[in-house]
Amino acid sequence: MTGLESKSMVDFTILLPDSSTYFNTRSLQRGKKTVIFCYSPTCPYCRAQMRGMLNNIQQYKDVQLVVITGADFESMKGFNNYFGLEGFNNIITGIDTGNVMVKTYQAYDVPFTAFFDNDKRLIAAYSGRITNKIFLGVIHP
Amino acid sequence: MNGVLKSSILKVFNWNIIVEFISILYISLMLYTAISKLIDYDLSREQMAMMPLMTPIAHVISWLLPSTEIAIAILIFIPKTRMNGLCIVTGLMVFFTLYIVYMMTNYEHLPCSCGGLLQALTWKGHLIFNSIFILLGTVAIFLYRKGNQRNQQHVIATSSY
Repeated sequence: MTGLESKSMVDFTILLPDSSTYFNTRSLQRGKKTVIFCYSPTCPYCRAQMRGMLNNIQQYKDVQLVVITGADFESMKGFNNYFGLEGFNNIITGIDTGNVMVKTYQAYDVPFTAFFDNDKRLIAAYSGRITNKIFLGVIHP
Repeated sequence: MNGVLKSSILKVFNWNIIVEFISILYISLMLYTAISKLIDYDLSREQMAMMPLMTPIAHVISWLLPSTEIAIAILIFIPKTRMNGLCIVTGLMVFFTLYIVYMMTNYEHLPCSCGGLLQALTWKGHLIFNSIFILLGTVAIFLYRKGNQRNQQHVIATSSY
């Protein structure tokens, strides 16, 4: 519980892997669910959750998946390359340069997964690794 | 003659108990680590991928290692193949220990990809743990050989009556 459930997603910018473009979360489509996944590139639990999500990506194809970290640029690139994240249309990756997820949603512990409904309101947030079952239970209740 | 026979049977029995005990320890260790790796395959794969030298082969090692551990447990379990199993497992522990030493001397931050409770061990703890198991494996191999020799001598002695 973050205390922000049912409140609208805060707007913040994400530095994209091209290192020069910023993506603002305002640009995320309404009418689609959004999942923000915060990770650390050196955290095996984050990597295992990322692997689990990719294994089931077909079940998440109608979801906008934002995969972000507070780590340095090279580590983020390494993570993206390792998982081949740039090959997915519904995945936006980058760096939360303003550390907004920590400041706003208390994403102190990673992996951290925040689910937003079609109107970009927070449905639920989880600290720690979650299973595909929990993931699907939130996005397809 | 009865006394000599009794004492030789007792000696063989004692050797066997120690070998059996070490074998059970090794079987438990191999099965425990293999099953905990397989239960959470994604996690063990990613942990291995983060280990030095492992990244490009983690997807293979993550199933090959638990399979090997299960195969070793079976080899040790079957009396006919126990000796081979003990030799392989002791060799594998020596390899793991050398890998740990290499990592400890070359890298500062190391992830651990052991299964289950063994993850809680520090790297020094791993080193001590592995060394104890290498010692146990060596003792088991030595006693098993000795036991076999005694058994053969006993068979020869009995058949000559």
